[in-house]
Amino acid sequence: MMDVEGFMRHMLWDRRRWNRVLSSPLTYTLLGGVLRLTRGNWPLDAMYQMGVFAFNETGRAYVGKAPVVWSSAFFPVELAWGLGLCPFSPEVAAAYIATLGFGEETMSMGEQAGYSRDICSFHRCIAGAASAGNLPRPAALLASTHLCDGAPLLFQNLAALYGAPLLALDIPYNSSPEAVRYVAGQLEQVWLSLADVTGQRPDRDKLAEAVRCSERFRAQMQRVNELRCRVPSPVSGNDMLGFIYLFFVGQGSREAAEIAAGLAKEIERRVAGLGRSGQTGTQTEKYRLLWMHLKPYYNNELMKFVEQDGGVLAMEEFSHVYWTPLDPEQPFLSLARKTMSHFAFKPVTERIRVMAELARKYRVDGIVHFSHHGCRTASGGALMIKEALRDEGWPVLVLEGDCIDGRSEACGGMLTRMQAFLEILQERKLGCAL
Amino acid sequence: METVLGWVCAYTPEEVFAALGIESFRLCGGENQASAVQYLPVNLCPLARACLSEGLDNAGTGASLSGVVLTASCHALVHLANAFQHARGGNGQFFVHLLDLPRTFGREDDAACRAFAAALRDLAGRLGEFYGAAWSDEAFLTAIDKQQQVRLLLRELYRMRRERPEQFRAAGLLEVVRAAGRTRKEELAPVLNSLVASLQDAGSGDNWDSAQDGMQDGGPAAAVFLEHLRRQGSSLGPRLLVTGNSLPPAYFDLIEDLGGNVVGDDLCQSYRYCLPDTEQTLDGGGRDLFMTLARSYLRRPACPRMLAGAERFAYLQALIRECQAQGVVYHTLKFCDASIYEYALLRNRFMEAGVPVLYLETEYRDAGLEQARTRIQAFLEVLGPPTEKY
Repeated sequence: MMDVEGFMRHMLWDRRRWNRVLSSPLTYTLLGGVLRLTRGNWPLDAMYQMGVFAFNETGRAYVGKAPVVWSSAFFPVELAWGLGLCPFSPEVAAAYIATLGFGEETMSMGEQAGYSRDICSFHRCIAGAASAGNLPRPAALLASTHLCDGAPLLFQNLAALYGAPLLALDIPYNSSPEAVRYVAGQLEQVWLSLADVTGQRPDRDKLAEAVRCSERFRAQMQRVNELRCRVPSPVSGNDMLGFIYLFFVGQGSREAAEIAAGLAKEIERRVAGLGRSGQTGTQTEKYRLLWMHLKPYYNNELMKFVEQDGGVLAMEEFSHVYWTPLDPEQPFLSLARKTMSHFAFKPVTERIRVMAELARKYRVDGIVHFSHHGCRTASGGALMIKEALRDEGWPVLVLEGDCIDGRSEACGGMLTRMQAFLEILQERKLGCAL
Repeated sequence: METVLGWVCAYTPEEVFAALGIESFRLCGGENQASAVQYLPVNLCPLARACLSEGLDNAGTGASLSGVVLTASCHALVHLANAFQHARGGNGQFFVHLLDLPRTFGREDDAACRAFAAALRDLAGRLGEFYGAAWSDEAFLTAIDKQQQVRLLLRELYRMRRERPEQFRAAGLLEVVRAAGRTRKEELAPVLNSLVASLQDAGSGDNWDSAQDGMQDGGPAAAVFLEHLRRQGSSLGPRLLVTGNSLPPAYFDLIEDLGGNVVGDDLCQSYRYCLPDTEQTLDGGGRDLFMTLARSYLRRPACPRMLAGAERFAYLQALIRECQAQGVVYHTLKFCDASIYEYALLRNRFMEAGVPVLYLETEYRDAGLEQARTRIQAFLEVLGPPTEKY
C-alpha cells in the first residue's frame, strides 16, 4: 500500500520536475487523497491531522495562495499568522527532503553554492534547494538570533538571493525588563514591516487571536506532557518529535491548537485504556530515555534500533513547554518573554537544571544528547552538560551525529555506542534489582 | 602574581575596565588547545577553544586571570563563558560576565544603542561590585581619551604599512595590536608615539636602522615593536586585503614569504580593533557616557555577525579601493558560522565585482600551513605583480 512518503518520492523522483510538481494544485489534491487512505496507519490520529495541516500549508505556499514568509526555528511565528500570511519553515522542509531521501544531492548543491560542510546540514540543504529554485519564493524572511547563529546568517544570504527583506530579531542574552521591552519593540516593528511588505493591514485583533491560538496550543501541549509522565509511556517520543512542525510553524494557528487538543484527548484515552487498538502504553518499555536535541531524518535506523531494544523516549527536550502563558492583550510583551525564556539561551547551568528536572519528572533511566554536528548552541555545551548530569547520577550519552547528512558518519558506529549505553542502563537496572 | 580580567571580542569596551582601574588582558589563544578538550567539543570555534586554554593555563598572560568579560557575539563565545564558569566560577571568586552586544543589521538603531548602553552600565556596576572599584565619570573620560590616542596611533601604523607594505611585516603589526589589548593605554601611547614618529622620519627608503636610532623616547618596548614590524626582504608582489576571521600570524608570514603584500585587513584582532571613533564629549543633553560609548562601538563598520551583509560589502569595496588591493584573502576559522556563511554571500559579490578572492580555512594553528602554501602560491600567480609601483 502506498504511503505518503512513498507517494512524494514517486512524484519527485525526477529533480527537473520538482518545481512543476510542487507548484501544481493537483499534487496537493492527490496528497490529500493519499493521506485519507493512509489515515488508519498513523500511530496517532493527531499525526495524520498534522500531516493534513502541513501539506495544506505547503500547498498554499507553493501554489501562491497567500504571501509566503519564511520563518526560522524559534521565531515567534504568531506574527505571521496574525497577518493571515503563510509561514514556511525551510528547516522543516530540509528535514522532509532528507526523509524523502533527497538530502545528499540537495546538500551537495548547497556546498556548490559556497556553504562549507562544517555548517549545519539543515542550512546546507536549504541553500541547495533555494539555489535550485525548489522552495516557495518568500515575500519576507523572519529570523531570530537567539538559538542559532546560522539561521539569520543564511536567511540574510537568501534574502539577497530572492530580493526579499530580512526581518530579524536581535535577542539579548540577559532578560532584564529593559531587554524584554527592547525585544517587544522589535516585534512590533517586525509586525508592522511585515504587514507593509506583504500588503496586509496590521490588525491588532487578528494578532490577539493568533496569540490566543498560540496560548491554547501551549496549554494543550502542556497537558500532553503531563499525561506523558505515566509509566509505561503512553506515546512514543520518536512520534512526538514529528510534531516539530507545530512548534516551528503552527504556533498562532487555529489548526495547531486543535491538533494539540486532539492529541491530548487521544493520549488521555490511551491512558484510560481506550486507545483505538486497546494500546495503553508502549509495548516493550525497558529503558526510559530523555532525548536531547533532534534525531537523524535521513534514515530511521537509530530510532528503530532504540525502540527495538526496548528504549522509549519518555520525553524530548524539543517537546518541553518552557514558556509561561501568553496574554493576547499584550502580544508583543508576551511573545518577547516567550522568545527570551528558552532555557538553552541562558547559562548552560539552566539547560542542565531543566534537563535534570525533566529526567526526574519523567523517571528516565538515562539521557541521550544527540549532538547534531553543525549545531553550536546544543553541541557546544554537551560536554559540560554530560559532566553535570552525570554528577547528579544520570547516565548520559553524548551521541555525535547529524540530523540531515548521513555521508560523514558510519551508522554502525552510532548504533554500537547506543547499544553500549543501553547495556549500561540494563546493568544499572539489574544492580537496582539485586 | 598579578590578576587581570580577560576578554576576547573587539567590541569589548576596554574603556570601562580602565575607568574602574581594572587591568585587562586580551585573550588571543595560541597553538595549545589541550585544556579546552574537557569543556568544549572539537566542532566548536578553535579560537574559543584556544582562548579557553590560554585562560585556564594562564599561558602568555604573565598574570593570573581573575575573571572574563565575553560578548554574546556568537554561540562559541557564549559557551566559552559557560566553560570559564564551569571550570573556574564555582566558588564565586572568578568573575564571568556575558555582555549583550546588539546586532545592528546595517542600520543606525537608537534602540540597539540604548540596549548596549544599558548593558555597559550593568557591566560597570557588576565589575565595580566584584572588584570593589568606584566609578568616576572623570576616569571614564580619561580612559576614552587614552584609548582613542592608541587607536589613532595604531591607525597611523596601518597607513604607513599600506604605503610601504614591502617594509612592514603584517604579523608584526598584528602582534602590536594584540599587545595594545594587553597593555595600559597610558603606558602604550608614548611608546607608539615614538614608534610612529621614528617610522615617519625614516621615510620610504629602507631606513629602519635610522628609525631605531631615533626612537630613544619609546624605550625598549618600542624597539621590540620595531623589530616585530620589520619585514625581512622585500617584494613587489600582489597587494592583498585580508578579511574574514582572525588569521594566525604564521599565515601572514607565509603570504609575505611567497611574495604577497598585505596592504590592509578587516580582522577583529587587527585593524578592526583600531576602528571605533569615540566621541570624547559627554552625550548631548543626556550626559550619558555609556550611550556615547555604545554609539561609538555600534557605529563602526560591522563585523560578519552583525547581519549587515550589504553594508559590509560596500565597506570592503571601499577598503579595497583605499588600499589598492588586487585581491582578497577571505579567512574562516573552522566552525565559525559568522564568517563561513558570510563567505557564501560575499564570494558571489566579489566575483560580480571582478575582485579575485582566495578562500582560506584554518584551525587557528599552524598545522595547515603546507596545504595553505600551495593555495596561496597559486592565488598570487593568478594575480601577478602589482600594476604599478607604490
